[in-house]
Amino acid sequence: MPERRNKLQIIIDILNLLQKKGRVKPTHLLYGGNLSYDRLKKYIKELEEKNLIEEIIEKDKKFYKLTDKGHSFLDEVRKIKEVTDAFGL
Amino acid sequence: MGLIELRGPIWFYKLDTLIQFFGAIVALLISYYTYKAYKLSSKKSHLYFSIAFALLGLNLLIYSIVLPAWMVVYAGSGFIVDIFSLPVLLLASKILNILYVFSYLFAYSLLIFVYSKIERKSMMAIVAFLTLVVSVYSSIIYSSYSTQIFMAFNIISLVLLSLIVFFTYDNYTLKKNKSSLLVLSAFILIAASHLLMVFESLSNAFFLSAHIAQLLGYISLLIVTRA
Repeated sequence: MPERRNKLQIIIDILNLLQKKGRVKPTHLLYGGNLSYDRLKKYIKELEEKNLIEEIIEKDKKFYKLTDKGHSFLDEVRKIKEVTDAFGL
Repeated sequence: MGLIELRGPIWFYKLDTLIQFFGAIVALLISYYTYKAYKLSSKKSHLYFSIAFALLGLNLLIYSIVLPAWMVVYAGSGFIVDIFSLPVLLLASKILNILYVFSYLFAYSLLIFVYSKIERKSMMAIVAFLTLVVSVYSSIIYSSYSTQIFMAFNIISLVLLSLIVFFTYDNYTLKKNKSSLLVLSAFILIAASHLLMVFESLSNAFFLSAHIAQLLGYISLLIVTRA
C-alpha cells in the first residue's frame, strides 16, 4: 500500500507543479495535487497567506502562480525534504 | 568525545576543540532543518528529532568551550589542576558531567523513540529508565572517580546507537541512495567512537581514534545537509 503523503510532501507537490507549469488553473491543481477540493482550498489559503503563491486573472480565468518568495521557499523545502528523507523521517 | 575533564593527550586538545565545535555546528544545522520540517509538516517525529540534535549540538558546543577553558587553567598553573581541591570547580565539573551524560543519553533515546515509531511504550520506559539510572549513578559516583561512569556512559551510548544504526540500515535498504548511506555511515562511525572510548584508559590511540571516528561521522552528516 503506498504511504500516505504528509503535509510537507503535499506542499512540495503543489509548489513543484506551479514551478513546472508556470501558472495553473485551480482544477489542474486539484488533479495534479491529487487532493480533494476542500483540502486543496485549505492548502491554497495557507500558501496565499504566506505569500508563497498568488492568484492571477487572465481572460476572466483564475490561475495560480508561484511568487518569488515561493520559488526560494520551494528550494528550501526541497532541501529540508532531502534531509528528512536521508534520515528516514 | 569525553566527559568534561582532561582526558587523552594534551597536544590533541586544540584539535579536539575544533572537532567538537565542528560537530556542534553540524548537529545544530540538522536540528534547524528538522525543526523547519516540523513547522511545515507538524509531525511530532520531526520535532523530537530536532530536539535530539539540538541537545547533541549544545553538548558538543559546551564541550568545545569548556575544553579551552581547562587549557587556560592548565597553562596558567603549569600542571593539571586537581579539581577536587577546588570546590567551585568540582561542583561545576560535576554538574556539567551529569548534564553531559543525561542530555547525550536522552538525545539518543529520543532518536530511538522517533525511529521505532513507538506505540511500544515499554521500550521507551526501558530507555528512559536506563538514562535515569546512568544519570543518577553518575551524580553519586563522580564524587570519587569518574572512569567507571565514563565507561558505563559509553557502553550504554553504544547500545542505544546500535539500535539507531539498525533503524538507519532499514532506511538505507529502502531508499538505496547516497544520502541514506551517509546517514547510516555517520551513525556507525559515532557508535564506533563510543566503542573506542570504552578502551581509552588503555591507550591514547583509542582516544585519538574515537575522536577521528566522531569527526568522520559528523563530516558524513554535513555532506547530507549540503548535498
